[in-house]
Amino acid sequence: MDSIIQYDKSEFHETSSGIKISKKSIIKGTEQINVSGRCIFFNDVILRGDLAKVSIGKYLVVHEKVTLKPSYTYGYTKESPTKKVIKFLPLMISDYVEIESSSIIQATKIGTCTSIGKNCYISHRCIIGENSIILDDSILPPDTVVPANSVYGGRPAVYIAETPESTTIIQKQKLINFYKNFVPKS
Amino acid sequence: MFQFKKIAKLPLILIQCECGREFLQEEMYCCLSCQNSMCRYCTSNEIFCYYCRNCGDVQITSETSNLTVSCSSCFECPICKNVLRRQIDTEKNYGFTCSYCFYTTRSIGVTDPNFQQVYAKINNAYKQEYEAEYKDFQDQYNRIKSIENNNFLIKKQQKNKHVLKSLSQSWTKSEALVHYSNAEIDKMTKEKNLKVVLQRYNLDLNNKQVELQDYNPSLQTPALLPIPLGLLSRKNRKCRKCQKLIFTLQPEKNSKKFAYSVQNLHYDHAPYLQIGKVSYVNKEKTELSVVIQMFNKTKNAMEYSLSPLDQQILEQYKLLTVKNLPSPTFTFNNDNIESDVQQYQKFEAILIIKDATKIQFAFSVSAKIKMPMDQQQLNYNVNVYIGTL
Repeated sequence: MDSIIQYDKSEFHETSSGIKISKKSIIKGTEQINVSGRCIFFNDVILRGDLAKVSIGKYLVVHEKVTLKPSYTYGYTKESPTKKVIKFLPLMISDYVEIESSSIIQATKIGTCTSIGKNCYISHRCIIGENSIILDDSILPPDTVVPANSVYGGRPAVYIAETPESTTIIQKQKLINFYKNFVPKS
Repeated sequence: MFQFKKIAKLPLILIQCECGREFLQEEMYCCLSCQNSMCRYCTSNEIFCYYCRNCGDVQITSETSNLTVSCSSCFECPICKNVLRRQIDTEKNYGFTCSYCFYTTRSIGVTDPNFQQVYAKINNAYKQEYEAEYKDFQDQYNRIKSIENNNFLIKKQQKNKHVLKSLSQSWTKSEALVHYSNAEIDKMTKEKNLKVVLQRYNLDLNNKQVELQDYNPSLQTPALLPIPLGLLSRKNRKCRKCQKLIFTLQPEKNSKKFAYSVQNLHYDHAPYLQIGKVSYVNKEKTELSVVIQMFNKTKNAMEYSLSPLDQQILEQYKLLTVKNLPSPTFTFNNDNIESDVQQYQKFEAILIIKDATKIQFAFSVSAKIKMPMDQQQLNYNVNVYIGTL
């Protein structure tokens, strides 16, 4: 049984594709942000689309005080062929992803049906595979690759366990029900 | 393996396996030939391939004969166990660094302008470090065995000379060593661990005591070499009784991903149960109403029947009576199904209990699945945990 969460309509924007964004969140560079639909962004979410492109899938749930920021590398550009300059890489978040509160994400790619815990720090150029779980209070150092169907946790985050084959089903059901039960107050 | 039961919140529906363990409905597997649903511990695993978690390099067990335990190109930090990455110095020498604790192979002296030479240097360093210790261990091991052999024979000669000849012929060497030697020595020599290598024996034969000296680290400087990254495995699942495959892997073309070619989950062949609403009926808070919903998420039609509760179960879970528990069979088809909405049937069970704080409610279920060729039946037990209200 999933509990119903009611919100004030006055505190949230709602689009035609079903995206629910709180008015207290900070979103920059909306031109470079693509969202498929049916996503929820809670209070104090920071989404930096001004640095690079951000593409988000469906059924994403981002809890309070999360920062989503594209990652960066040092490289040469046409404008500065001799000096190394910071280049921002695009951020890609797939479908059915849940990000818990107070976590900072600078990854390049997050796969489908993943869940990221509270107070996590995912540093730049990380790649998170499908059906994976990142536990609370974990730190992923830069350039880590999280394989599919794995559980990572710790400081630094290390492979802990394997997820069962039915994580896709569990994660999809959980997020679809969460979205259905996120209802405005009558 | 990770268990979602630990994260799940109350109220919960769990399925009880034959072994007694409880799991979520999605985590259970199903063997159609045995007509039984089972948990992960009641299935056997068969390794399909080994892969590196960093570079994704795959070794399929059926195709390759030379399987390795660790990746040839990836290493792990000896301090924090994070995966190392390449580094280029200002002098254009290659090496490895850790991005978390800032460990570098430059501190050991393992750098080279040619990157492939770095691997060779690491391998040589491992050989040099452990070759001397392995030789020491072998010498000590042989010395101990020879001493034990001699002592046994000498003692027997001193006691009874005429008996010795008959005994020595009947006793084998291994039996003699077991009879005489210390149990601790036997364990340590058999395991051949690094602990054994690091300790040196000093036998005191008169008092039958063994004095162990601690290894002196000042004699050798331990080098913090990068550890080769261990490989992980992907597995196929089989039923333990009939040995038929439940989950099989298949590699996708031109990619390092794997897809399941055969998958049999309990979820795919049985109705899905969900708790709709839990509330008190009386002002005195003695009667609880629990609404349980059933969904048919399979592709086939289904007949579903519930068997009544035994009195033992009612007494065990402090239930007095149960009202409105449906007994007849009912079918639900999948003819008119939309993408998100599926046909379901609701039944409401009212429970009358003594102490309304924590409840366990159990009933047995049998579902008949109308497959195109054959009619299958699944039997399993369901436990409903409602928790405190």
